Amino acid sequence: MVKNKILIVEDELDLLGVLAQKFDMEKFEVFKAANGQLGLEEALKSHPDLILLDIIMPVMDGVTMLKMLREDSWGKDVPVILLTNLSDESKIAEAMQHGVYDYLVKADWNINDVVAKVKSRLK
Amino acid sequence: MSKNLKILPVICLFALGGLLFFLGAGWLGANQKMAYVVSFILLENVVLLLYLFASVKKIAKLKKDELMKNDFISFVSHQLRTPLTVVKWNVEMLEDETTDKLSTKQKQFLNQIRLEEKQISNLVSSLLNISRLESGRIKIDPMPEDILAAISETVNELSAYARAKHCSISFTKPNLSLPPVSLDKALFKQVILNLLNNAINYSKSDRCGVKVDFKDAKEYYMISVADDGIGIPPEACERIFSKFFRAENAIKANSVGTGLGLYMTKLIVEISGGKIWFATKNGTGNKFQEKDGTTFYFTVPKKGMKKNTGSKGLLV
Repeated sequence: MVKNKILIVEDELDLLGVLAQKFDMEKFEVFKAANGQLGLEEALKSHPDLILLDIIMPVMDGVTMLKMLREDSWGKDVPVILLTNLSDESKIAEAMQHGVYDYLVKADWNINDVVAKVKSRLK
Repeated sequence: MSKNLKILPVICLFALGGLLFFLGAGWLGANQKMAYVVSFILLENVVLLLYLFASVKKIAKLKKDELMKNDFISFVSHQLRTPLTVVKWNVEMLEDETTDKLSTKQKQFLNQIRLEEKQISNLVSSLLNISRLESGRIKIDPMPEDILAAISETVNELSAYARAKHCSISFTKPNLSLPPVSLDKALFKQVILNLLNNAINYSKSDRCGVKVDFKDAKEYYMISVADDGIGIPPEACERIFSKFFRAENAIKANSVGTGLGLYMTKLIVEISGGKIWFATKNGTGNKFQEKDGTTFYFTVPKKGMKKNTGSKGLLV
């Protein structure tokens, strides 16, 4: 069975670690990146089926990465789910204009529900 | 209020200065002593102006300190949410991975971690809510709502929790046909939820009956939540809405509690144009009631809750 590929872009390394571990256990092929620039490079190289994308990150933030991703012929259609914090409200609105499947406030979610959301998009 | 009072002596001295000027002019006429009086009054007014300027600066600094404190609480709370999420997700994964493999004791340990995480998360959410309310960043977006339906909805949402605590909540919907009221439903429901939660959590162990009532009172609608619980001791009555305050008997009855619930409830009621008060068995004066327990009352203006164009919602 071909594994679904997921790219997780998140600068909080503990969160990145636990998400990567979980999706690995759920039989995903997991790619990780700790900021938008690394995320963009990884996305264009490994062509994941879905991207979980944090918004506020050093070097390159999630919104900038999303805009650049959408300019690419492959990247324009890849489903993206935003990983957000409460303080990101204005950024979420901006990101939504660039074709985002959905967003979730990390602290309000159980990890199994995050997985369920990803799987429901990939069905 | 106290900041305004500090300016009062300055205003009084200015008035006195003015009075002296006219009296001086009247008594001395246009002679040379007039020059001394005028010089004295001018000097006095310069001193007073300096004092006023210093007071204004001090008030501005106090406001700035208050804002900085608020920013600090908001910042720390946000910073705590990420590690708490990591703890929560790891516990969840550990539970999934180890189902049926753990002893009862080990399951208790895990459960304890989960409960503590939940408690800190709730505290962080409360602190963020208070920071949003105090700084006026809270968004109040009233829409026409059926106020009686909103009360019933809230009571229903809490009935399972009440049952688990051997408690019953009654709300007899009055037979009134009311026009829609402008409510921010989430905030309105939060007020009732907080009051109901307290009524249940501070009940007496042998019985618990909570009664919700609704009254049409001239320019306001008044909602009351009456319990037959442990009551509020006389020495706690003046401080019951204060930030972080918990009455002695409340701490004994329920060790879990932040002392933020009633403070937040009052902030929500007042920022949206209403009033909140209570009466209790052990209270005195207008805080006394014959029957056991405590009754909290709050009002919502008939013209609706006040709108506030803030950017942040309430975390629940």
